[in-house]
Amino acid sequence: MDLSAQFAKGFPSGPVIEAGFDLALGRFGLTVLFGPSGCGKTTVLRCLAGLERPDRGSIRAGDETWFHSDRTHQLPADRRGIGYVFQEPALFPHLSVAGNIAYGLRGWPGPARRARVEEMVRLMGLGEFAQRGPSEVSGGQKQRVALARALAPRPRLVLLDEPFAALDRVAAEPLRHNLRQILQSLGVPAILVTHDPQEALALGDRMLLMAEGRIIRDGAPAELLSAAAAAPEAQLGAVLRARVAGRAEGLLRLAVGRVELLAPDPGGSFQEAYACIRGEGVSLEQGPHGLLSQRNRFTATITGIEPLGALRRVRLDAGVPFEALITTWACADLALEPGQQIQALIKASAIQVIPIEA
Amino acid sequence: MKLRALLPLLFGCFLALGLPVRAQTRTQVAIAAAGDLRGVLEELKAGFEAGHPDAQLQLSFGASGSLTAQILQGAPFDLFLSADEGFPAQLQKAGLVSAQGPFVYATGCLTLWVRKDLGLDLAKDGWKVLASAKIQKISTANPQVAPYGRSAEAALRYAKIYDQVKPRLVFADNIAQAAQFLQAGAAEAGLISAAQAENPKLSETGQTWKVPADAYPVLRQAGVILQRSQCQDLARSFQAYLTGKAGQDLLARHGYGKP
Amino acid sequence: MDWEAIRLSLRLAVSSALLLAPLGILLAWPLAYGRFQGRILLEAISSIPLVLPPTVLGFYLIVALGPRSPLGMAWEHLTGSRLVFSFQGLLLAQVITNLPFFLQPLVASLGGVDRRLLEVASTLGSGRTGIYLRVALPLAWRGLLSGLILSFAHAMGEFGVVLMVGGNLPGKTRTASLALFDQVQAFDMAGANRTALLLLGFAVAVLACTAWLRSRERAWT
Repeated sequence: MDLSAQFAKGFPSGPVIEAGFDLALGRFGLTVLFGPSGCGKTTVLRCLAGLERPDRGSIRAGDETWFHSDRTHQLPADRRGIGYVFQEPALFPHLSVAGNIAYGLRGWPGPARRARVEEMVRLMGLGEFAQRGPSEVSGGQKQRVALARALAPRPRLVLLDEPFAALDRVAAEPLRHNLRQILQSLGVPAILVTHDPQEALALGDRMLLMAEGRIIRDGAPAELLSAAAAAPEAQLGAVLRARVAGRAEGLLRLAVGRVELLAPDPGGSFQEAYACIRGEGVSLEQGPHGLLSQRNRFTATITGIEPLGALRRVRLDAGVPFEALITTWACADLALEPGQQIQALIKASAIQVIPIEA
Repeated sequence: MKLRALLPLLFGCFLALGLPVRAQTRTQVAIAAAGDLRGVLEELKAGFEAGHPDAQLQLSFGASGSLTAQILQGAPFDLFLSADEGFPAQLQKAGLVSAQGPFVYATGCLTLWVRKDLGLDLAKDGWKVLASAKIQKISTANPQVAPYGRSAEAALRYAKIYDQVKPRLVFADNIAQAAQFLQAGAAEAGLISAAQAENPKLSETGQTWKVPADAYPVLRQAGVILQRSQCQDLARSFQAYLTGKAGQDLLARHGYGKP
Repeated sequence: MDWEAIRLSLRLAVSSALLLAPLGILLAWPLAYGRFQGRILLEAISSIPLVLPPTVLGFYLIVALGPRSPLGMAWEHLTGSRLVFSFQGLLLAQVITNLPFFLQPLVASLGGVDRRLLEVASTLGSGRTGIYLRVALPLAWRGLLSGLILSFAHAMGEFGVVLMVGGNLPGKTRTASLALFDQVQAFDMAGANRTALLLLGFAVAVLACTAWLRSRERAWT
């Protein structure tokens, strides 16, 4: 059974938000809806949830038609079986944590309801707080409660609107860590909205890239984030899949294709990761020199050179594609041309390692 | 939710208040009476109830005109004692009066009351007292709804001082309120009934002067038993009491003239 | 001391508050959250008793409930007694008169409830009624309480409408405020004083109770 969405919504001030995609229901999958702030991601989510009504198009889930231009009334939010987590926790202040989680379980028989609440409390690590009021728990815990509340009624789809944005790093990290596991263990498909490329990379199986109100790309997060299609501030540079070959003294040895790179260890136990290499961190030199500080040094072929303002973007291939950003003068001085073999040097600290969660 | 705690409390109050305090073993007779009868009717009530232990009189006072309007609207009175004949006649025309029709029970006397400590001599000067600048406000009942108010206006016109005093006239809803204005000090002089003027609260603080009878049309005070009344017999008993010796003596003591 | 009048006033005020509660709760929902064409009109109509002088209100109520009106006639047909000048008629008049006093604080409170909470409730499976009863109303409890107190207090003190529609009949429609008026007209200043003090004391006690109730609740923002 699939969710099939193709709709558009306009605003009085001008912009029109369009979305078209399909999504499998009934099994786990984490789709990231990614784009810069203000591009319409929240609107898409709200239309899917039934909190807003698109102007035209249709949204269908299996046999159910949630929205269609031809019909005056759309299926209301309370009948779609969707869980929604806002950026701000939005807990009911007049109910305890357990009361919040149990809210969507109204039709359930007593024992089943209690059991489910306990299950969610355990799953989200809220054991001590179950009877407290929302004002007595921290921001991170509130968001856990919000998540538990949304997941408790066994929704067929969970929508998360930048759920970590309002939390500080200390609170966000553990939650972000667990999110995929929790969703996977419950078998619930999810759409996560974010403008943080690291988050997208770490959590998503699939990415819908949005810019200026439209979904422009649909594919693997790694691929979309390294391509030029992403906005500059979202670019992570070259995103290369790497295997951990060794660890020592806070550094990782990553096997990237036939090249071995040294990079800072972000911590955690993982065997595979993405190595993100921004163009700014790559230097080029003709021929080998003496000992240099850069640990990562290898031969690469220049596959192309293009201007980028006052700089040049030099595309390289060393079995894996990446690029270097150097000044126009440097380019001229080294007499770089496509097809040349060149030494590429990458500072270990310029490599960002994003672990791949199992 | 605190509200849930409040609701049973409110319900309890409601139930408690809903239960009547005394069982109504006596027949209630509802009497609508003109304001000037306030003092005398209480005494009449005591006297009547002493002789009729199965009856309880419920008294409502107001301007005769206002009470007439209420009765026309359906107010459930058994007896109506007006300060004139015109309003009872109106009710009779509307078909609300019992077969025997209106009966006159007394003649009203209009009295001019002036505060004592103003240094004015009412007995000597009569109407001329009102010309004094010390009288800032003159209290009377509303002529549109109160027969005494109508009479007061007539009397003032007869004495040819109406235009002179008009700016200083204060109109009360009914004659009893007019008297209350005097007692409260809101007005220095007023035209009220003789019965009210002899209330100690007023008689001690003011001088009174009986307005000459030819200055205003005779205030024949009439009453009616209402057709709708459920206790016609008792009402008739009261009418008999009122017009009988005991009632008439009481009325005379309070300054009323014979019917 | 006219205990009968005081008991009557209390009974009238409590009854009208209790009748107002479900009616007001029902009306508050479209007023607070509705987005339909007639909403402004509904708001205006329900606020009329606030701005009309009590005498005008009393006049229109007599016309609407009197023996010659459809409602009055239907009542007489059903019960055999008149609607005006009766306790029930007075109760009905009080409910109409006090409706805005109950509605305004409640509607204001409902408007202050975070919309997102209502949206969340919707995604969790609550239909409109569920959202109203399980989220909006509980969070607007202060407005509800204010409305109850206000309409109760106003009903206790109401004079003009009571006089016109009720007629000041002892035991049936002579409320404490009318009894006070009577005592003044009868020169019974001492009695009037006592009645006034009792009413004042009662009002103070009610307000103190609600202040205490409010302070005991946790502060929900």
